Amino acid sequence: MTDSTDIVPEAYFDAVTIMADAPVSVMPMTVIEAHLYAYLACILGLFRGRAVSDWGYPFAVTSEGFPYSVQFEKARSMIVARSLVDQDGQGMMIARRSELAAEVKSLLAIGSWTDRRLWLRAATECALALPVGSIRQAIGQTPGLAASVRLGQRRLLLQSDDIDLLYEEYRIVSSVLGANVKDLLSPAVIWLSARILRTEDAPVD
Amino acid sequence: MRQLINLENVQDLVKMAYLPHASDAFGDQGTRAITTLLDAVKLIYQRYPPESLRGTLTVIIGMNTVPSAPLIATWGEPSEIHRYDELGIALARANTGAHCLVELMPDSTFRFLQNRADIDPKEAASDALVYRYENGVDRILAKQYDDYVQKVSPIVSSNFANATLSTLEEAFSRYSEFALESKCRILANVWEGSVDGPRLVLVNRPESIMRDSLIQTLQLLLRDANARPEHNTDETKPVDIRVEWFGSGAAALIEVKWLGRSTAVPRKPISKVTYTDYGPRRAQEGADQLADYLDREVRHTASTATRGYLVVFDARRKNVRGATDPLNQTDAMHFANDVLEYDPDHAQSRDDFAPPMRFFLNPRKSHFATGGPPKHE
Repeated sequence: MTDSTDIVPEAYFDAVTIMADAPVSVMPMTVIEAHLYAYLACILGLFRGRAVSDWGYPFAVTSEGFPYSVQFEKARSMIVARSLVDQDGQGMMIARRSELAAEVKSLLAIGSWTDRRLWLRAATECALALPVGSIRQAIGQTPGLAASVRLGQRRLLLQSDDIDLLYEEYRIVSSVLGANVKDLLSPAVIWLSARILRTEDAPVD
Repeated sequence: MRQLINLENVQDLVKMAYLPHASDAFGDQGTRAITTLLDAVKLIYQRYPPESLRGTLTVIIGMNTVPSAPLIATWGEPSEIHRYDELGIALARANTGAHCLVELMPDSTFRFLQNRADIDPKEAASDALVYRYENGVDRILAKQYDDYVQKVSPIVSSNFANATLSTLEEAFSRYSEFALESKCRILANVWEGSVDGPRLVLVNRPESIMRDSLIQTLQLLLRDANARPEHNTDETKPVDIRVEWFGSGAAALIEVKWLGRSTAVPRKPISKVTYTDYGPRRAQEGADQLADYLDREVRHTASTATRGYLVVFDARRKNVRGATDPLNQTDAMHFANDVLEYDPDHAQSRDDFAPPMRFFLNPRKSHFATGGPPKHE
């Protein structure tokens, strides 16, 4: 059983908020999808100027090629243990909406999480516009992750040269989209879509 | 080399960017409504998939409607529906060729209508966000915007339909339908004379194209699994694709083989085109190699549950000559329903070897020779 003293507050907020705010059609969610949305939210936060070092916890790529965070996983286990989320035999997570809403409310009362919540919400809303498999495909081709997946290696994600390239890609999307677009979902979906198209342009390895 | 996203792709995507267009057309209300609309479309497709629709589907959120005066009442007398599963049943019962209209009401109920005559979605979009599905194409309209949604892959009927599958067998089954007409944008490159030609002869060394096409499809369709080209540097040629499922230790090794005729690059520069021809023996070689890989996998890795899959892309044509020498239908389709026999049959003798899959690649019907059988040299 996870001890609550082990829990990183940011990771706990993210686990609760992803499950609380995800669109109904995105549920139920698998464990690795929850990690994927947390990682995508971290990238979206980066796009909006939040330094990766301030995210609160790091991500790595697993040997199977998925973005994953040990700290997020502990927090996710905690919300299952606290019955905010039900998990079935196949590992699918089902939100208990009213309990999660109450938990989000209490977390917002004690921390300054407003921007973070927007990034997390935009991450799950990307799955409204694109199949989750294609989001995983787009993220799997992001710098750092792609190289590790090819080699079947575990590696810490979002290192400094990876960040430079992500910024450059976001600059391209923002410049074409224009300054009038204020929401985060539009550039996020266009960035992911452009990554999917890039994957088709290039050979797999 | 690290490759950035393509600026031209981004420009094309932005032209059809329905998310900012919804906001631009209807302000904050449009920003909120577009996610509600997409969520609803996804939930509808979870009950009734787009490929099963026998006509068109239009889903609407009016900007100024109230439950007592739905927008779609303009085109008929709608019925009131309260749940998504009821909506799925209504769509399933719709007549062939029917134009189905769904309106999402502010009180979270639906209005449903099926008409013989179609509506003009642009007219509806003057005061509503409109989703439209027709002949495999998604559109989202908002006031003057009419955005065609670019599909992430031709294998999905709609970007808003849930494409995730649990098993590799299900994914192969979906892929076989898709490969039949070489619909995948990657697989389309496998033909001499392009996918729009007769599709009789494969390009030189087509296996990497087939592998990449299959990997992309598996990445898109499989839930919680990662498919990647195998880079095992064991002493001989590795298998082509490795699929691993998160957290379970389960893995699949996929060997890709092709049958038929491909162009070959001659060792000496000669003017005559040469070919490589592979028949059923090639499939057997693949099966034997895979069985051997599986034996070594047990010795070298910690994977607890590895299963081997042989997939065979079958492009055989009877009496085939060159890429542009027409064949009659009987010859071109001679192997369409062929069953490959294996001896030894590893799928029968071992638990970790799945029954081999065969993906037949159709020739272009419009290029069949009419008249008598072709003359042979």
